[in-house]
Amino acid sequence: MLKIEKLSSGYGPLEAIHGISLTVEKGEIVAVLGSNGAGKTTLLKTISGLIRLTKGHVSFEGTILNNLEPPNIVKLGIIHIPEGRRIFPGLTVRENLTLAGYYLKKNELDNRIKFAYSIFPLLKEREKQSGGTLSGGEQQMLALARGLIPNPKLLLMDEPSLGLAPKLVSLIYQTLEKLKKNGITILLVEQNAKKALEVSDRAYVLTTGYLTLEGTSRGLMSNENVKKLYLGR
Amino acid sequence: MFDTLLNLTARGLSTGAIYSLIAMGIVLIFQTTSVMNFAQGNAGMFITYLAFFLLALKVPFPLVIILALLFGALFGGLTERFLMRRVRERSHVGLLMITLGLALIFEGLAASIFGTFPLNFPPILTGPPVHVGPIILSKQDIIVNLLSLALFTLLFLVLYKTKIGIGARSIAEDEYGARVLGIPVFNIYIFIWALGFALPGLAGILVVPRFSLEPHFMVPIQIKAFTAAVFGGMNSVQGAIVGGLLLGVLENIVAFYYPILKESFSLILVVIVLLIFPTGLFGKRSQRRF
Repeated sequence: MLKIEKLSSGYGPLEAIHGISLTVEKGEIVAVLGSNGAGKTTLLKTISGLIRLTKGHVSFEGTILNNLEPPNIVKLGIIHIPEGRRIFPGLTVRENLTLAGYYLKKNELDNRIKFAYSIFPLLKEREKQSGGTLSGGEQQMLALARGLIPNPKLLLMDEPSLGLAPKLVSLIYQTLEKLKKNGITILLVEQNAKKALEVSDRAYVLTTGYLTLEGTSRGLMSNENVKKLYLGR
Repeated sequence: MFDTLLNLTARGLSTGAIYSLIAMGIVLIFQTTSVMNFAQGNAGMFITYLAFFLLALKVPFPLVIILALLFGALFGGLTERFLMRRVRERSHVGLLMITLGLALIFEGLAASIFGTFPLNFPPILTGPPVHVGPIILSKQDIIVNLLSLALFTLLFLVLYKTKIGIGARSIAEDEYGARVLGIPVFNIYIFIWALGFALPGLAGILVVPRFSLEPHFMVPIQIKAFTAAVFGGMNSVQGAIVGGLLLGVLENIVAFYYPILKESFSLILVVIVLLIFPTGLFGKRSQRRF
């Protein structure tokens, strides 16, 4: 579904990821692990068109994404839920959701918002509140709900558990499993390696911009290096 | 005494509505693109000249207004697409200099194409003033107020009820966040700049019958509009409207009782407001919570 070949990209003259190749198949949850500065976020930003790649190819269902702008990539069904959630604090919950469905027709948008409310009923109650008044966990729900509005084929999720209480982290991960059952493919970037490996089918490990390990999540969980470096055992 | 105040207020509102129209353009562009657009007033002046010649060609007034709005939108859109976008990534000061340069270009173009001889621009409606109770207003003032009210309403509907408007507000809050969602930020920039130039075009046509049409006539109005925008809070469209209207009314009252203060009043006011409310009357400090 998503195929990345020898991808390099970064910020101006600074290359942050070097020659990465990875694939995501339909219906999978694939995790990308790595510590701070490993290039995980850069990888997601490059896929969603926020930064231009310098070398290599990214293709999605046969379409080359290399030179596409974010709006066109969103229209293909790739939705990026960024680190730090990035909800609009001055806009209402409903407005936040509306923007996530920028390219949907009115009817379809209303249906998708209803669907998002069915998964996160709390957001329905908060519909008219501005995003900035929500708690951290509620904001993450809003960010997730926004990701679901455009009926995504592939979700790119950047650190969904960052800064959340353990109980909320579990809730977010339960939701990811639910999404997977609904046929949504997920590329997940996480520092919380344990959670990410539990939920994902396969995983890649990035170290300072290079791909250093890959395999099934179960296999990586028992890998000595992963255990030592990322699972704290 | 009371009747005089009422009349001063009513007439001040129509002056203030003009300030508000331009201030809204300033605030919209400033909020979404963080650029202070100095070309606004002179763009309005240039469009007013175009309108003058359309009227001379016997084009009906309503059509002239529509065409003027379209000219403004076109200038604004082209400015964003071919000037701002190229410089945005490189230099913020460059953006400011471009708007200053544009202001001079509009002025120079107007002077060389249309000359500097003051021209008489007709009001939309003429005829004897209208009495509403104790208030006496010219027909032009009434039409200015009605048109402005219609535009304020329309803009609010756009900003709060349409995707492009909500998108513009989201960019004002967090441009990166908007880009991640796939919102077409570049199209929205064009839309906002188009609005930002169309509004002063209309304001120019509405206000010019009080002066005469010459290449400098919008300069004092632009300064007042900036004052109104700062007065209301640079990051609030509501603020721009209320700021403009309040400034128009207060200025009119002060000028009546203390004519010597007429020109300096707006600046004195803005200093006082900023001392007491540093973010203007309606401005908010940006707040985020993660």
